[in-house]
Amino acid sequence: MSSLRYGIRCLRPRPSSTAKQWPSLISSTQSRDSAPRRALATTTPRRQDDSALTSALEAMESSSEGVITTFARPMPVSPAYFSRLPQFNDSFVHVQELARKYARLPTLHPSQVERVAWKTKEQYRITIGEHVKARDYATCIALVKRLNQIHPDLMPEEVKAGLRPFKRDINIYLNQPKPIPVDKFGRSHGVGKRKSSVARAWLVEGTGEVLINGKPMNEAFGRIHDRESALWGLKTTERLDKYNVWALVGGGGTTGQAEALAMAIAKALVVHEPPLKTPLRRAGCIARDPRTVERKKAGHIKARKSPAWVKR
Amino acid sequence: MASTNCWRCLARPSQRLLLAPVSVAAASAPTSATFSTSAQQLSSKASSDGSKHIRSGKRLVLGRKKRNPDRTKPPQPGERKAFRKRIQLSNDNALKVPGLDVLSSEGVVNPESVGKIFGLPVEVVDQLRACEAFKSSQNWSLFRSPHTLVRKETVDLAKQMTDAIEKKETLRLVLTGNRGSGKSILGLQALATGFLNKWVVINIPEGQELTTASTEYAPTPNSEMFSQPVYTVKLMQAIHQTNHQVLSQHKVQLDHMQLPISVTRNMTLAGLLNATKEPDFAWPVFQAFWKELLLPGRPPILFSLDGLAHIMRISEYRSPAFELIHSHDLSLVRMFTDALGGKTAFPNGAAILGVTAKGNAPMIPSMEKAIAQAAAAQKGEEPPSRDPFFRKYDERVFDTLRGVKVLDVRGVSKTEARALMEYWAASGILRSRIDERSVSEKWTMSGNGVVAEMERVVLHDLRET
Amino acid sequence: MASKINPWRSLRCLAVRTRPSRAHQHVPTVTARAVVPLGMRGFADTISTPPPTNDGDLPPSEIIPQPYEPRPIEPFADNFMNEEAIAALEQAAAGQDALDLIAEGLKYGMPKPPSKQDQLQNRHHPVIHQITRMLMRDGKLSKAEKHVSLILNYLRTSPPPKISPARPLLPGAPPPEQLPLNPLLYLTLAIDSVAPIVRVRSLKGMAGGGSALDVPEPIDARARRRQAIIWILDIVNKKRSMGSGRKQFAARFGQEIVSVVEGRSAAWDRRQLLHKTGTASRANLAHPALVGFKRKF
Repeated sequence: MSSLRYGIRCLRPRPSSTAKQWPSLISSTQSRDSAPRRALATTTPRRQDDSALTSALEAMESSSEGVITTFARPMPVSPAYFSRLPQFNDSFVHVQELARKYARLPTLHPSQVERVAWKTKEQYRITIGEHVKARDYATCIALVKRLNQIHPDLMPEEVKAGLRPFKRDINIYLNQPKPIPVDKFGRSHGVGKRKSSVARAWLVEGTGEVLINGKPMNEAFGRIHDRESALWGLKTTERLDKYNVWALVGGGGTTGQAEALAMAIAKALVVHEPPLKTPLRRAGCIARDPRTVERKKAGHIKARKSPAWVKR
Repeated sequence: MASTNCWRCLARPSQRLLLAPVSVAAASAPTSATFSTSAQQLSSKASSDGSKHIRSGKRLVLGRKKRNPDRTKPPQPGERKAFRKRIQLSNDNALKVPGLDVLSSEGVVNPESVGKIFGLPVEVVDQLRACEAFKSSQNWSLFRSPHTLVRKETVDLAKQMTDAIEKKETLRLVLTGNRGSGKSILGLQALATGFLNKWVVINIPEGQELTTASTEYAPTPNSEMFSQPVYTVKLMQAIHQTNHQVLSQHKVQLDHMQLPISVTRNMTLAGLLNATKEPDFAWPVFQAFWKELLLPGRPPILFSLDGLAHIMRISEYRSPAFELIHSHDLSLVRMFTDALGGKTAFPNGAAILGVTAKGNAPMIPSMEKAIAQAAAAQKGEEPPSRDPFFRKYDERVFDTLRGVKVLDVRGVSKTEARALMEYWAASGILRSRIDERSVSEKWTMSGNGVVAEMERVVLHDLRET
Repeated sequence: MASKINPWRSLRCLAVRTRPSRAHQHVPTVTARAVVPLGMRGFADTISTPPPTNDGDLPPSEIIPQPYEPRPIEPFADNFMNEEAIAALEQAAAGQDALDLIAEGLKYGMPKPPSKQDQLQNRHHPVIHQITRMLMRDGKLSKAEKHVSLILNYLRTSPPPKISPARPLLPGAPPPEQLPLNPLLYLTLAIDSVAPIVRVRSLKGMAGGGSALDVPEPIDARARRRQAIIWILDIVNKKRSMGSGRKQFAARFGQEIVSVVEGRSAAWDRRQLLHKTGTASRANLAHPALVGFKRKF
């Protein structure tokens, strides 16, 4: 990487005097309405880029202050043009320069910075269409995160623009969960899922009576382990005798239903008492267990089992 | 085999001298002389490092499936079943719980004893065991001695029974309730009340045994009925054993000319029961005994049967025409159903108790409807009508259950649950703190205090041990 | 991106070296192992204190206490998270309830934070968890759990064991009369006592000539218990049940646990055999093949 950077830096001073045929990524973000230039090559897309080329030449002539060097062939815009990852290298170099330039600006503690959804490696690869190496992207994104820590009041525009290609289009951290209210009867509602079961639970302050699908606990779940699972959230937060539960469960088997119910009850409990979310998460009731049945594949008997090998 | 190594630490005895003495008793393992093992070592060496191609036997052995068979003696016939049915009423490991009262005839009817644990008197335990009131599915074997919780229903039932018998009336009652709610235990407590009050207690522990064609049967001469002689002998023995004290105070009053055995006037009722062990004579003698019991001046009777649904259906016995016999055509069952249906007059007062079961019971729509109707009548509501499209209603069942009282057994209250859990904790079986929170947790977990579920939740839980 | 132009390549050829080559490093390890007295473990019932380890340079009398050096003062981090705590402290100093800040939005006060054993997914004692999973057949977990609870009930109702002095249990075990009332401890004690303390790995072809080299290895607690349970299960599965019904497996397993505690079980013989092999193959640890094997990886 260092050698590459060195090479790019050597190439760097020259294009300041030359005109840009192919605007770098930074400028392309500013003029987004122009045609996509990702597939630009010197030889093939001559026809498409003729107009762009002429306009660029005109612009060059109009803004000609110094010596106009003429080239026999069109010069690439970016010095990284002949490298494997021209766009990434451009933005990486840019980020490095920014980091060097603004290294002295005061920063915030990482926990105080507003959370930004950065592109993952795969997302970045898809957007720019280059197969960026994981290690390079990691180095780059670390620098980007360091730049993002600059105090927001002092954040230069240049840095903001430079970080933009690494941000996702939608910042998921700005999403606000819809607040669930306790209704006028004092009930709160929660939904939970596990495997293929879905549970809905309504919680009212009460004395610890439980009805599941209209049945008492011992008829709804034959296994004690399941009963305990279903009421786990109330049990660990010592609220078992403080609330009444009325729940509907469907789908799946008993284990799935019980653990779906645990999640539903925990969510409904959080509506009544929001600070309980952390203890409930620690008790394992808030997170959805993502494991489900693996799908069956073609050519297999089950998900992974293959038919017996037969000679001929 | 002598150990050349230390048990705990892999050190050789020579090295152990360098170490601290771990425990002298442990170190004194029998160290026989090591030279005695040389022969074994030699033989094993010869077999292992000899040529691999020497066949060990004369016959070709394919595979190594041969297992050396278990050389222990197999259990005798019937032993396995006895093991399964064995009832153990004490556990010497459990702690003795001091300060608990013993159940008495006054205590059972006292409303203040609700929510307390009572010990069963030793003689009552013997009587209950003789009449097979304890079941193997109940957790008697975990505790030092049999104790029961007196709950609201217990006092209610005992009061109803004693009131009816004091007025020389007949209490006909059916115990219903959800699975595991304690119906059989309530039946047991009723039997204990009977024993404490010196009534004549007759208990049929499993209605199933009478109708599943598991005992012998024979047609009764000059009638449509069938008797079950072997079971009758067993029942007579049980009655004799449990009620010996009461029955030996009463003497035979009638002439029993038709009996195959000679019965004299100075024979006691206990003697009458014990007079024959011959199955052929059992039913007539039992009938004579029943007649004697129904005379005025005899002690009151408590007749109970567990598993009511089994005697409310067509039995698995066949008549000589190879048709299935209705259970009510079995004479012993008929005796109970007549009593429950109010056809038998009891001049001395009686309590007839039918206990339903939920775990092992067939679905009898007639019985369920009849019980629902009886329960509605008891509450003064409109009785639910029969399903007009269902043809298989059994009139005999409706006749039997007409006008019976119904006692619906539900879960225990939280105070009763607390008493129960404190008793378990005092016995050392439950190893956790008993406070309001834990009690209400178990109460909720057991479906609002269903007793058997509470036992499962507390005593069989892997987290509580 | 490792550059191919590495100065060390050429420097290695030079006589003057700036750092020692690796060949000097692994000489004294073998001798160091031989010095340590074998089997010196601190057991709970060991009365005598272990002899002082004076195999170092200094005899114990010459150990000079180090002069006290104050630790450097840590600079205050700009920790905004302390603010909550500081606010709570200030509130407490003002005579108010310090927990008010935290308990805002709670109706019944903050519960005790759930510990690691209070997780929905991991709520059983480790031994119970392991036994249940090992008893499980065909993925029927609830059946296995039922078996385990019946086993514990068997242990509860069986008479107290008579411990034989020939097969000592783990040190610090309670007296046998107390065991039945704590069936979990009973079970754990039996399994941990009969568990092996080494595993003998047989490395194929390492001894030369295609013969295997047995090497003893230390194993962790979970693996020890696993081995013990395998032994016990082997015996239990070969036993004949003397009754019928669903409690039979539990009864057989419970009997075996009792016989382990009483020192009658065949699992003890297997343990002894394994320990013998382990002791005998201790010498193999210094086997040149193995030393080379270790150096290679």
